[in-house]
Amino acid sequence: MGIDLSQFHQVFFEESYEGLDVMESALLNLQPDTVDSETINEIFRAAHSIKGGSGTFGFIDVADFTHVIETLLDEIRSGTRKITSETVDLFLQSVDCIRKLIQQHDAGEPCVIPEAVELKKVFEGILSGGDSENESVSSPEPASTITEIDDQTGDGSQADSPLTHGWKIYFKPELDILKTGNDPLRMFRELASLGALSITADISQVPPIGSIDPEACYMAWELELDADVSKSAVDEVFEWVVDESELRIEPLGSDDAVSDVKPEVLVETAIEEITLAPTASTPEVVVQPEEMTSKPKKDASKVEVSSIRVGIDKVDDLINMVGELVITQSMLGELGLDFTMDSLPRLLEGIEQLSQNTRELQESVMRIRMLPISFTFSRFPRLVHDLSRTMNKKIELKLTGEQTELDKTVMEKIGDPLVHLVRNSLDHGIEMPEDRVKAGKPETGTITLNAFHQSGNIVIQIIDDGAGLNKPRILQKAIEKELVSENDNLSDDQIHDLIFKPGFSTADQVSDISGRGVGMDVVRRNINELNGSVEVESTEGQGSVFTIRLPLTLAILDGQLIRVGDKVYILPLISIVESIQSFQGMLHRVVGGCDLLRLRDEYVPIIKLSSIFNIKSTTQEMEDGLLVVVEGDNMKVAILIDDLEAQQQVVIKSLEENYKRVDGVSGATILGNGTVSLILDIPGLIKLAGVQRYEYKMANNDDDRAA
Amino acid sequence: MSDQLEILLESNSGIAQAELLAGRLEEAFQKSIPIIIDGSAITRVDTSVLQLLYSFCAAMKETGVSVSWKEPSDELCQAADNLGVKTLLGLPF
Repeated sequence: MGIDLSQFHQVFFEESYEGLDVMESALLNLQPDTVDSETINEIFRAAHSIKGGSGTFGFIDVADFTHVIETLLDEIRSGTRKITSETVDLFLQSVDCIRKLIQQHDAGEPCVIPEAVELKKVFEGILSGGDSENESVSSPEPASTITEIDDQTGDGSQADSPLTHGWKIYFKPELDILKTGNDPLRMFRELASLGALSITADISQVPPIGSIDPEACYMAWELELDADVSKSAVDEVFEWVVDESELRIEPLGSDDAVSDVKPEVLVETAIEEITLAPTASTPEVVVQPEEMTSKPKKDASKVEVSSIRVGIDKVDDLINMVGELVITQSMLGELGLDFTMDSLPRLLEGIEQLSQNTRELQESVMRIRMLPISFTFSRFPRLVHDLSRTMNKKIELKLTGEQTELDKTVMEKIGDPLVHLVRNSLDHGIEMPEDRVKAGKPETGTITLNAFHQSGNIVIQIIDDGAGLNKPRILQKAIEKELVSENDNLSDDQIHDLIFKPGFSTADQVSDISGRGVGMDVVRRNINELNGSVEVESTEGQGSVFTIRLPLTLAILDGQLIRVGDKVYILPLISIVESIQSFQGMLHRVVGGCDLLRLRDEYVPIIKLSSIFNIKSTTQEMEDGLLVVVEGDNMKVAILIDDLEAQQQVVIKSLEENYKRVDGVSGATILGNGTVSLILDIPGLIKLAGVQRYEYKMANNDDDRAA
Repeated sequence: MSDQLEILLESNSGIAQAELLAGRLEEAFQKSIPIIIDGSAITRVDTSVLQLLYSFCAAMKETGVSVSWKEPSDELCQAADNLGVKTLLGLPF
């Protein structure tokens, strides 16, 4: 019975995306002048794994395309071909093509990518036209011991010549090869099917019975295949073990190559030049969503299935937690069987234990969703590399805090806004090299991406040492677009903040980099939708800092339950600044506007939830209620409520998915008593209440007006 | 105590059976008596078992105790040939 390989497709796609990221990152690190063999090997291994996997799963277009790249990489790593910066660019383009091909397979769409066809032709042209033999001969410095063997054969052409009369193979697998399901016997049978095969086993390393590990492989083999087959046909036989063995394939007749070299010598040379780091053997497990296994008949190729790689330590923690939970549950179960009032203290203790276990379990589960932000940051070296070339700018990208962890969902949603901000810094921030030199700055500009945790949030900064925001120009544009009036007295922060207004752009020309119809207002809106905020600080001539603050997770919220009338709402605890019970004398009624609370030296608009949601409050007078001062959208407001209730963690349920979007409400949750409670969205409430940001700012800049 | 021991190889002699077989072979080796390996039932054998058999035969040879085959199956002979250990195991051509 055949195995349904489609069940492994998703894992293959994910591993391929990771492999492509590895390739891209290694290519960006590659210096054509000083080729590092380890980097080339890293790129080769990634390409090789993608080729092998795609061939196995029947994605022939991916396998064919990757095969050409792999062949070229093989020549480069064996020293028979030089690498140039043009080749690096071609490889980078090929990474994009492979990614597109895989994405289309992932989406279940037909794969026709013209650039892949063209690029493949270019690579084939290089392989057939670029005379690697001559290059090898003329190569002044053979890069590795493999090259030495090539030189000894005198032709170095086994990779190029499609057919050679026979192959000489030296194969010494690693000890664990049998445990991974790879059986040399099966491979040799396959080779024998290609032509006459003579086999000499090297049994010198086999221990005597009694000290042998029955599942280890101690043998090595020298094989001679007398058949007119291409090297790739032989390569294919060893495809799955190439990373777990020492393998030499030479044309028959190249007497110096394999048989005359003692196996011991080969072992030494191979250890030196082949790094057999297994590509995907890190102790990780792939946690697949339950749907994948429980609904096998569903058209999996059409469904967007997401999975996450989780460190085994996190899964172990989870198992420990569940173990604790089971123990507590059985203790409570036993108590319940024979309960008397004397058992009450033990019952209470058990419930307390249960509560602690649940919380720990919840924290462990949440940790599973946390991924280092390097997953998002990793796309930027390529972006900066490409864009700086397009714009003829010299830019260095620095990444710090890449290990800062963030919920996967938040991470997926923050990618695009970050890309926009980085492109913006590249385009508008960093000056042309000559302008930088004139300004007394280094020719190369720097963009820094920084991430860190702060007060339960993740903070991501995009820092550039460019020209900074041009305040007069921003102000002029804002006046032209009637976003502000000429008489408005705006602070520096307020002027900088104007770039986040809808329809605002100071770019005189629409370029490829910016002015693509997605403004900074969309960036702010997207970030606000994640319950986050974005701010900019800028010093003219010195650069700008964009600071994004985001919650660590979107799934669970630390909430404060509040009551208005008979309704209970939830305020995100993180947004609460303080609550005030007695505020007589602090109120300032404004005719035609909202009431203000004088909070120390600032004025805070008061929002009445009962008015906004049209519910009957239990307090007759404003002074009888409570004011909760909250912060959202970079401003403070005081929300008038009837009472504060408990604080608790709540699981956020999407209102949009289960009902529809409601202004002023970011989601819902189910409380302990089974009732549904709405989670308030502070920026939304501010908007609903009609509190204007500039009025707020001006109220705080101008005491007289507020009073 | 008999003066020779017969070891019957299972029909399916793969890596899953290797550990058990290793135990039996070591036990047989300790007895220092001539061994007859019955390979007639073998329909499937892999590298791990053939390597184990070689290790056993080599150790027995070193101590001067004989090992002989009883009706080795074609599958066994073919596999040993494909792995390059047929002669080393003393299997018939």
